[in-house]
Amino acid sequence: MKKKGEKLQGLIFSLPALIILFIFTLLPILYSFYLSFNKVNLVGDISYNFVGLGNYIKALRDPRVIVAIQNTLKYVIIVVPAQTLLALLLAYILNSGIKFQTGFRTLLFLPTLTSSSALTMIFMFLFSVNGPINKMLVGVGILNQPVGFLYDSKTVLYAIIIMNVWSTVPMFMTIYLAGLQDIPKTMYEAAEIDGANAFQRLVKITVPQLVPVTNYIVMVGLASTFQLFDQTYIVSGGSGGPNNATLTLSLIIYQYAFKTFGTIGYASAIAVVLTLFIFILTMILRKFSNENVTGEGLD
Amino acid sequence: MKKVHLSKVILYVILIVYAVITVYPFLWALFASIKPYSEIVGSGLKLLPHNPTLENFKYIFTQDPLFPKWVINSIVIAVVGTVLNVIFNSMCGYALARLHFPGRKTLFMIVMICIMVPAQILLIPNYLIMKQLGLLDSYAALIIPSAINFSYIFMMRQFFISFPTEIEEAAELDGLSRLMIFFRIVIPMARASVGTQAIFVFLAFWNDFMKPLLYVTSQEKYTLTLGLQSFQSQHATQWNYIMAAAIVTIIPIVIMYILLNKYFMKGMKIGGDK
Amino acid sequence: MKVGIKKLSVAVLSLGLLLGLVGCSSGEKKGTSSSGNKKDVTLTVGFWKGDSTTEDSARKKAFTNFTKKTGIKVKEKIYNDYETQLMTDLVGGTAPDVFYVDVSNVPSLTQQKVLAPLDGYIKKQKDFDKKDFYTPIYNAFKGTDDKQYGVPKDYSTLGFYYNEDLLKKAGMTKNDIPKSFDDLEAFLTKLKEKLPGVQPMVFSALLARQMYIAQSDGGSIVTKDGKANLDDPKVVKALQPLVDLYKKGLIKTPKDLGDGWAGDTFGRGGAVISDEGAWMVSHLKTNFPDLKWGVTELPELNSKKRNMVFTVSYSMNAATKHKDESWKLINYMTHDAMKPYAKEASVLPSRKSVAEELKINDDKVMSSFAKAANYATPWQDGPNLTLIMQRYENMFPSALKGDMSLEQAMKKATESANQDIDNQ
Repeated sequence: MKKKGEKLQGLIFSLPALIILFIFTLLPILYSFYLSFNKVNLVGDISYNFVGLGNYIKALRDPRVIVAIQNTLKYVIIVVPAQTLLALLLAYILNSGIKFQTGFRTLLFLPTLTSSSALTMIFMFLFSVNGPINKMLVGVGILNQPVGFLYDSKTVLYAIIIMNVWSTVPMFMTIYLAGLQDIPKTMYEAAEIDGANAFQRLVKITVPQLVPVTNYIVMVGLASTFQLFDQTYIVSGGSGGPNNATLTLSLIIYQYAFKTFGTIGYASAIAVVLTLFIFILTMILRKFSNENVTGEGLD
Repeated sequence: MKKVHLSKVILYVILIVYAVITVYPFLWALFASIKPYSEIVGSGLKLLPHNPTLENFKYIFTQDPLFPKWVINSIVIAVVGTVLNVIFNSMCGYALARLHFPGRKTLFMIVMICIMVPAQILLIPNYLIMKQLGLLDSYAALIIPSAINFSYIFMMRQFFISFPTEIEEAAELDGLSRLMIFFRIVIPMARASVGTQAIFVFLAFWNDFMKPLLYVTSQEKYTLTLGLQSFQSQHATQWNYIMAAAIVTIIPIVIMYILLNKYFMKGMKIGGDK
Repeated sequence: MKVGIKKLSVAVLSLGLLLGLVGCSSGEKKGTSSSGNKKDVTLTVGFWKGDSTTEDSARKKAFTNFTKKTGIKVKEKIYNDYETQLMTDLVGGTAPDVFYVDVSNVPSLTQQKVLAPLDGYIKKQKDFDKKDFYTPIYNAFKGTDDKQYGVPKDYSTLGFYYNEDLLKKAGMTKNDIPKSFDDLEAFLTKLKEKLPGVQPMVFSALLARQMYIAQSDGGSIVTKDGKANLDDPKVVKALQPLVDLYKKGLIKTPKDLGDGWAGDTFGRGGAVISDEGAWMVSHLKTNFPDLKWGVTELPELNSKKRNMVFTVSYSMNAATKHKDESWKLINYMTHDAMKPYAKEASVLPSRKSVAEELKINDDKVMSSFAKAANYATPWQDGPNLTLIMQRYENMFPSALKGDMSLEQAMKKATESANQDIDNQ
């Protein structure tokens, strides 16, 4: 009886999303997928030549793609854990009943308010040879002389990592905070009546209740870090330099889609590879977390 | 007793240090916005201005007569877009978390994949669709394709999954329909996550650059982000104007954040630690 | 449930096919000839923002006057991100009727056949005098088929900017600036000794600024069939002095000095000399009004005057429906409007007669750039120049920093560029 009604309800609830999803996302994805098997020219004399897996084979042999995969992976492996842990720590502190909570929250939230391109520009000043970061490091004695962090192939990716953690932590912190606050008060009250102490309440209620939120944060973190684009594009002026140090998969995709004619099929193939990459990785991670993949078992 | 005290001190220290790291770049931008250009690039990047001036703000508000229009465009698009998103994303997230319907697994997988596809590759196909639908150079082009956001559908689903079912079941026994339960009981209970979502969606609209860049041609339909791009010429970036403009774009959001903050924090304190 | 998915996938596939058709049909619309109804024609004109607000207002005035004169309306389309926007426009069939084309993009755009040849209109236009244009600049908009694909609106070359006060402090004048690249090292060394803490010269590690140097020994950075040739020993040899100067600390990039571009380094008095184009003039005047500076012609290289010329044209979209009107606009902007435009925007006119009328040769600053217009190399070389430039700018800094030899860096850049060219 209940189940029957739910079929219709489910459809009604997801219908608006479904319509937009089909027209504006699924169609473009399918089109790109189709392009990835073709050598395509979309400008002037339009031509589609089916090349099968040709673009994919080429991509996996392309040394620039390999470098981009390495850079992207290095970036993901550092940024995702760093931003998740830092966000959790800060959210927990903010939610621990300290004073000026709202004030701190508002301050810490600031980076989220600005577009990433404006932030990147501010950071380019801060990281420059005359900038405050160099001044501080030289002043403390960590560096002998200022370093052009953003123009040295050895440091640029790390500078971008710092930039990115700095700008994404507040968003994830806020989500954790919302998660913490959505845990119904009654659950804690009930536990208190049962005689659970603060630590037990943390382990028995807070942590398990946060698992879905953590899953979300890790997965969205993975998807967005794998797609790193803005910062590398601005810092390298679109070239991915110096010496390929800022070349990421998204940047390569952009280069082939917009900077050269006739390579959008190739760009699409790399995009499909990147998507598969993220997808497989998140699926593996979900298997490890104790939340059911589809939520099917949660009744 | 003493131990508690010490741990509190450590917490405050962590918070304050992190707050300083967070705020410094903004202070820098704020002070840069009241410096003349030559001082921004010439003074060895000192934080405080030597000759504070409001010229930059005056310039950005007067250089183009359309500036106020761009602000209004941005607000309208962001507000409409946010309302649609909050409703659609929450509904879809709820359906994915709570309702058993055919194709749910598939839909969830599709949502996940949509989050993962690199945006750069979808720009051209999307443009072709917008053209075919005759939506180019309209507000609708900026709102409709962004009326849902997969990342927040996913977020709402994650929030609803850990929600207790008892209250809804009780409401169902009272004879309320699913939609009524959702809007009257579930949404108010999930105020914190809905509010969070609203802020992020609003920000995404407010700061969106690519869609306005590609879809809008007429200057009177520009959004603020697009209008501000004009301070960047082919060779030089007018840092003084960019910084002033950045401050101008941040202020409305800070105000909105503080207002919303108050709203969705009401009655949300949990008794976990205190 | 399974049936549902099947239905779903069928629906998706059919929609996908529809989209495929969308992609195709957009191209078929091209080639529609001029419309009969001449009344109320609105032309869309695509351009990017200028280097100064005066340039923008000068352009706007010219459009207004054009409408007054011809009755043809102009709708502006500002390209904030030229490459991304033009590519989507071209794919979508929504490109403007007339748009700016940078000289470096001419070969690739003509190869894609998106620009309309203008020769027919030029012939019909009796007062059109192509000899009035500086030859290298005008010819830079010729395709490989020898047809004209654009009319240059203005141009710039490179010059040596010098900081008067700093030169004075070092006990020198502008006459001490070397006339030949051979004397550059000695000059910069002297500056460095006299002015500790000041960078003798700032330069940008960009192919557009180094192409004429790279080719000064007879080498060519691009082969005849459009492939990268940066590792040609002659090119490497010609570029090596630059790397040597860099290693001695005599020249540095703006980024080394903590600036976004040379205009800021030079403007704040961070360097004595800067090799930049005329676009820096308005930047210095607006943002650093107190700075005393001047410009000289670039020193000779291998006993020959060499320079780069950067120019932009008004070109016609091959798919425009208003060909005659588009030509009228192109001709108006590069003929009637050139003088007031060049005057107000302080840019260099691409026509000699206008340069004479504006007395460019009497202008101390502008004349240094104008002198080079007759011999400079246009910033253009085959359809793959953008790609080759990208790879050069990716690798050249590594050679400067000493991470690898110049030869190795250029080899890597060439290989990577050519791999992509082969893939196309």
